[in-house]
Amino acid sequence: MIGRHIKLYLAMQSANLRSHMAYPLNFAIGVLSITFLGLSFILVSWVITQKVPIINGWSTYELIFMTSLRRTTHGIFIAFFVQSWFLDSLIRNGEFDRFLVRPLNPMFSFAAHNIQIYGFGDMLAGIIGLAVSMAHIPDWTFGKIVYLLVIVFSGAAIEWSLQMLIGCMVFWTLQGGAMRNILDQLLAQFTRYPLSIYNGALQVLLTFVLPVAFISYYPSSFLLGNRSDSTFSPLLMYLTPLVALLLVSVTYFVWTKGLNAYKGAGT
Amino acid sequence: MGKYAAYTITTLKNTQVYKFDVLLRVINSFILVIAFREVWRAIYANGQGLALSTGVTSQGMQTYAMLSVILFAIMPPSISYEISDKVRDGSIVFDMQKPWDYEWMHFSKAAGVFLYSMVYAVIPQLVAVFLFFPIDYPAGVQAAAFAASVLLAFLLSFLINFIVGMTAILFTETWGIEMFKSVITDICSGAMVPLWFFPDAVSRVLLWLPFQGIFNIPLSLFIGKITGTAIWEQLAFQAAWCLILLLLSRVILAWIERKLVITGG
Repeated sequence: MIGRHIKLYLAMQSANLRSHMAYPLNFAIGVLSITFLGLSFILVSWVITQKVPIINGWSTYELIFMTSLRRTTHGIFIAFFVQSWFLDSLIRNGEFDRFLVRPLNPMFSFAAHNIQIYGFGDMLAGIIGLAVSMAHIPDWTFGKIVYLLVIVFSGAAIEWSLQMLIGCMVFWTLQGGAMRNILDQLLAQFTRYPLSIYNGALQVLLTFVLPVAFISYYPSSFLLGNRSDSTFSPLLMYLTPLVALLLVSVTYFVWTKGLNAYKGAGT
Repeated sequence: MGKYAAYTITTLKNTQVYKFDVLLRVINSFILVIAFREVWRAIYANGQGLALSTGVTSQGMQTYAMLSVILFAIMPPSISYEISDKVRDGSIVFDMQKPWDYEWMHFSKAAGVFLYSMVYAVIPQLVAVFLFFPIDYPAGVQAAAFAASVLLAFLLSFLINFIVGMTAILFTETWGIEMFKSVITDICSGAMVPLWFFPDAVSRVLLWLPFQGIFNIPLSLFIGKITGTAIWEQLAFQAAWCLILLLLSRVILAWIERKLVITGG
């Protein structure tokens, strides 16, 4: 059963990928320019730390590590799950119904709907940033690198959940795409510097309401040597995978409720 | 002139339709204002003698960062996507045949969006910033120079957008070029990091490029980093680049119009 889904997913995504590669020049320029964009975020961190080498106890390469972590997870989100951005327009155009009539779980069908090659540009920039910064940060063990992989996928899952939760508003309100920009902005801005530089209200918001801080700040705190400079319990450093699991469950629940509401409205 | 003014007014009216969108945009950039301010406050708190070495106080830098977000809202939108859509469906030909100047047409439209952003985005945001984060603002000559500099910045940004937009006619697919343009503009204009923060060798190069006229000059005027005779030099720098880019855009436009006539038969 699971094997069949994996096979099906690979087949669908490789078809998507081939359709995107129909224009190789566009493909190359697109991936290249997104890599460039991703690297520019890393460059900004570098420029600032040339004048101010330590920000709230975080050094140049530690800050680059944090920014790159978010770029990598964002790349995975964009490549494989970007369709959650377009839930509202898919529903308005009536294209969404095709996921419901297929003999597959609608979530699976929806997730395999698209692959966005530009995500690979973000991943590339992120991986370059991670590699460069990790080379300058001592004490990497095999265990830590495995955990880093878990963190990367958890981060992508957190971003996916937040985006989907906002996207799912469309089932009840038939709009909601506009809120997306605000979420994108929060994700882009507040994953680049340690949470401790922000005021208390923002720290509460980014930890407990929209847990953006679990994407890069808390796991970096743990991976870069068990520092705990947040105002909250040091336990939060270890919780990224759990937060991801919890959010994904909540999102799946909301999605199921949303589908029911949508079917109810449609008939 | 009348037809261009009419086009500006029409654009203004069209953009006013999306009220909810405006509200979200204002919220969005207010989040950015707060984020930028907090980041720079922290950076200054951690830097040794930063105010002395850069000549800008923490308060000045916070003002710079907050205003850069607001200034971003009045910069003209990219036209590449619109042009490449029109190239794809062929309607570009009709635009070019109309009895108006193609560049003026786009400028009138950008002016409409400018007026709109001014009223619905910049003014509410400025009021919010003044209420929540008291900042020092310029007066007299300094204020007048800032206003003039913002207009020149708008013009510079428009010309860069127009030139990049023109390439859409040649390549049809513009996504990548547009992306490169925004990254380069964001970095080199001082929108993300002011130019005096870059390593010396880099900032010396960036100071000669037109991009610094978009954010670095007007914002430096606002916080008083540029004073005295330097004010006139910097305004002249912006004006000179506007002139160069204007000439360049005219040459490209003339060349493309000729090319379109030939291929159009």
